[in-house]
Amino acid sequence: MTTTDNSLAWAPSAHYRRLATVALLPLLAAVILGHAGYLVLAAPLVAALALADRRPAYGARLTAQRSAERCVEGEDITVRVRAEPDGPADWVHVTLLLPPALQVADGAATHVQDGGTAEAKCQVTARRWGRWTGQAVLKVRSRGGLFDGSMTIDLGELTVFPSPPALSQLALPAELHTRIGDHIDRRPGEGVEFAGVRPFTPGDRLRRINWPVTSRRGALHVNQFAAERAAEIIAVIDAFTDTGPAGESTLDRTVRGAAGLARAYTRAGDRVGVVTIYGSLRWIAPGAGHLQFFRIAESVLDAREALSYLSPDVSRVPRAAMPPGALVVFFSPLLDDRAIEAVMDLRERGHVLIVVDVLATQPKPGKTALDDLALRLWYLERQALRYRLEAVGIPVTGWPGKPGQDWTAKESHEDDLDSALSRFARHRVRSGAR
Amino acid sequence: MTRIGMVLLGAVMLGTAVALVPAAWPGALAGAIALGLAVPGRWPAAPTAAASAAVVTTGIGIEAGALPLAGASAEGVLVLAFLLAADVADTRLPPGTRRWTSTGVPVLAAGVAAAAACAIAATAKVPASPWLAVIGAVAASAVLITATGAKRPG
Repeated sequence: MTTTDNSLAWAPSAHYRRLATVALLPLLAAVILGHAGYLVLAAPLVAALALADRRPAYGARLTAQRSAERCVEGEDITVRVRAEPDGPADWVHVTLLLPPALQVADGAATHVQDGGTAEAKCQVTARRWGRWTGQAVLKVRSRGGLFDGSMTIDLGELTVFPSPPALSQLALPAELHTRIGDHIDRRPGEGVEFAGVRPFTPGDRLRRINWPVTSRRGALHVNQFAAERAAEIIAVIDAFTDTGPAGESTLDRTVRGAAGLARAYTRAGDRVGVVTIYGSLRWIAPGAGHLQFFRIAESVLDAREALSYLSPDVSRVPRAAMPPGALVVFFSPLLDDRAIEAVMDLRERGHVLIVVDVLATQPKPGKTALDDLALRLWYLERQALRYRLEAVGIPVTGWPGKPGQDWTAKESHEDDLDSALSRFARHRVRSGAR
Repeated sequence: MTRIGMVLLGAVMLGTAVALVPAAWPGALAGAIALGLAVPGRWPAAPTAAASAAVVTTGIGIEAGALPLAGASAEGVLVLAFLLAADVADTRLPPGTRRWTSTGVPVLAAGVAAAAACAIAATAKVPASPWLAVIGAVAASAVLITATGAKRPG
């Protein structure tokens, strides 16, 4: 809750200016032309000016309250603003000034009350992730309408987390982490999945002896089980470029995708980290649990604020933040050469990599044949880039669609990331996979 | 609704002006154009322009001696009523609000009284006197002090 108790900044109202301007014309004419008839014309307006209250000096108390300080894209929050002028007023006007990412869902952003205490209550829908601030503006009209007093209060910062798309099938790296998890590893261990039979060695549990095999082969044999390990996933956010309509821009989709990965894998007990590249590098080392999801969601909110012309050096990312064997999912529109270089660099370092092309817009088709040719060349360049990446063992998947195909098709970001990554869920992703 | 009321009042204001001074119809026409621009409410100066056009139209009649003082008084009151209506239209008060009306009607009544008093005073035959000039200067000073708030700051 934010409260401010200040004096209002008073200024002549539009009504005052109108009355004074229109009254001035006949008064000047009366003085210049020496005709009393003009005074008759001006008299009602002068009387209105004389009757109204003079410049007031009182203040007001303005209180703003939000139902939540954090929410997820698409959620509603309630904003209440209460204005109490300390003196008489013709009307009290409360307006919410909100960024385009926050949309008033219920009622208007402006509330007018004829004097006294005004209370505005708005349902605000968060349309786009980020940290947003708004303001409430109070306007008070003095008795008689000649002066307007105004006051502004900050509504405080509202943190809108990206809405993570649902992922039902999880792609996994060929090598799993040594920590215990839910995924079956190739290595033998203490899991419940049967992996084979081997000769008995001292120290083996007796309950694991496979008696049919033992009696057949004449020597003790025990069942072997596969280990169950956790996977390590790194989501890389390319924040070099942000193109497309607000709310569905490449960076919006990138951050949503990273949040989707973080939610899906942390729910499965895996360890997820995030690396944001935009000139400088920012990372969150892999971690597990619900808290890690919010840590990642909180960190990616700053991605929109820092555009840079620097080239990132991915070698600066510490080994703990991008461990070898981790599956790296690189979300990028593949429009900036620095991002493409970073992808190549990661591949050369032996990371298991999947590139998710998030570009959902295309250049507008031109009117001339030359424009069409340019557009086709652009498509071909995109295709060539994809082939170049796949040739060095970096699989590229499109979200939405495949690069070079029809990107104008509107797809919901809720489910199509799942289909984009589903083909990697059939087999473990290896370094150099296609 | 309040905007429609404002436009109707503006039409009456301009209609009265052109009826009283038919020769000054271009002024009324300019006022009508300004009134048309005031309908969407996007040009805040439109009501001022429409009222000024009505004042200029009436002023032409006064200067020509073709307009009785009663007509000028009526036009002055109509201009005030129009400006009050324009203010109500701008405030976008919700329907059913009565408080503003209760403050607006006394202002309009005062305007009528002031116009009537001024018209009566203008018709009175007063012989020239230095005392009148002194009284006028004192009254003007009092008005100035009241208007600028020299005695009651704030």
